[in-house]
Amino acid sequence: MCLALPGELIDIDRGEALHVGRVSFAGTLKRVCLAYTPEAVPGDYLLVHAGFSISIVSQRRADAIVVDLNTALKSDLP
Amino acid sequence: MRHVDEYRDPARIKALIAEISETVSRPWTIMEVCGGQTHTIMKYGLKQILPKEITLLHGPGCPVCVTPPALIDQAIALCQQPNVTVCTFGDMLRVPGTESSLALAKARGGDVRIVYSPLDALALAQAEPKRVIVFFAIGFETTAPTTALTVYQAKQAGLNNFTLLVSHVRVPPALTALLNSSDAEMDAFLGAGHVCTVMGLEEYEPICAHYRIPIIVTGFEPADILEGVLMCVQQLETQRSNLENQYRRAVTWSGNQAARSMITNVFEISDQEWRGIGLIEQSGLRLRPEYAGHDASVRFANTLQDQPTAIASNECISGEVLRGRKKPAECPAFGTRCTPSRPLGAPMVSSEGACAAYHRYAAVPV
Repeated sequence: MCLALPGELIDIDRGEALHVGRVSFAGTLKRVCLAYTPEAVPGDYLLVHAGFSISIVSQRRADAIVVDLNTALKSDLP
Repeated sequence: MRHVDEYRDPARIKALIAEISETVSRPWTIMEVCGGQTHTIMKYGLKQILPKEITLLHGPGCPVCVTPPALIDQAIALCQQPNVTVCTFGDMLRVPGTESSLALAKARGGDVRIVYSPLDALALAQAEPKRVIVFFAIGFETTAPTTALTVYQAKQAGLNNFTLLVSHVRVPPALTALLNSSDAEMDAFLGAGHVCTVMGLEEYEPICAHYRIPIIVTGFEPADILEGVLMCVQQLETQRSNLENQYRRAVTWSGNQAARSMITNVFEISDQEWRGIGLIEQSGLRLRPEYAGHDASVRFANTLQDQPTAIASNECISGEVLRGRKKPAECPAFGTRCTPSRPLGAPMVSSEGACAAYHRYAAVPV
């Protein structure tokens, strides 16, 4: 139930009562409510749960932890 | 798929296993809170590739599993009322109530419809104004804002035929209840990443401090889980008990403020019964009085007050499984009298249930 998937925001429909956009999940398009991530722009990756975007996925924040992991990766190289 | 594939990379997983093996020096027991994490652990065989010092316990983070049978009985009673439609997520259909399930009630003529989003139930209420739509709202704090905005929209639009049967639950009181039990075995928690995407981290810092236990808020891909385990082990081996965020790409300290505000606008905190566990104080959400017109438990009070007392299966040990005391395979009914097609309890049904994960993925005893 708490499952959420990251998808790419393709476009935004500003004609709707609710802030809605089309999100691509590896090519499958789904209409998603953007009310909780109103700052999202096309090209952003959104974490989508039950038809709602609940977070904009941040590569910058992800990289902050990958730094340590890269050390581990290097130590595993021959 | 971006933000997914890189966290399933075998080289990355191998490196993390090596790092955990180098770091760990003695046995540690770590509980993953969320059922989605349990499924990742089973699907990718992470238990088998972790060092023998690491024991993973499965936590109560499966909302379908903890929804009390009394509420399922109520949903079944409502779907049989004239001009009433019950909408819910697909996982709820086969979960047994006292004597039946929503799937059986639907087969017998009840109007039950599966929706992907609460907004689908709202659209149904708009399309069928002569029917009362009851959305059976289950889920943790991840799902609560989706329900909250939907009922807020219904109220704004004057859609009086849209109602909620609410069974939303909160994670922090459940963790506290687990830690207060005399047989708590966990040394650290992998926190539920998507709950924290909404709620942020601040509720968990007092738990770390009071119980001196590390909590690592963790994502759902295999590299996320292993990185969370590594961060737990690093803390445990150095006698630290801090709150850390492994799932930084999605979770910030304060979470999603708009979603949190909408939860607070629509719901208030209440005591809540958890299936198999019992009453946990302050662990639920109920509609505020100003939403009484959209509250199915108020609108259908006369129908629901005649419900007999709900009784769960005596044979099902789901309460022990949800508290991490027993593994699914320790249940005498596992895989024989209890299967995904004929479940005795909810954890065998849900896509986040530990029993379903073991039944689907565990080819060898683990």
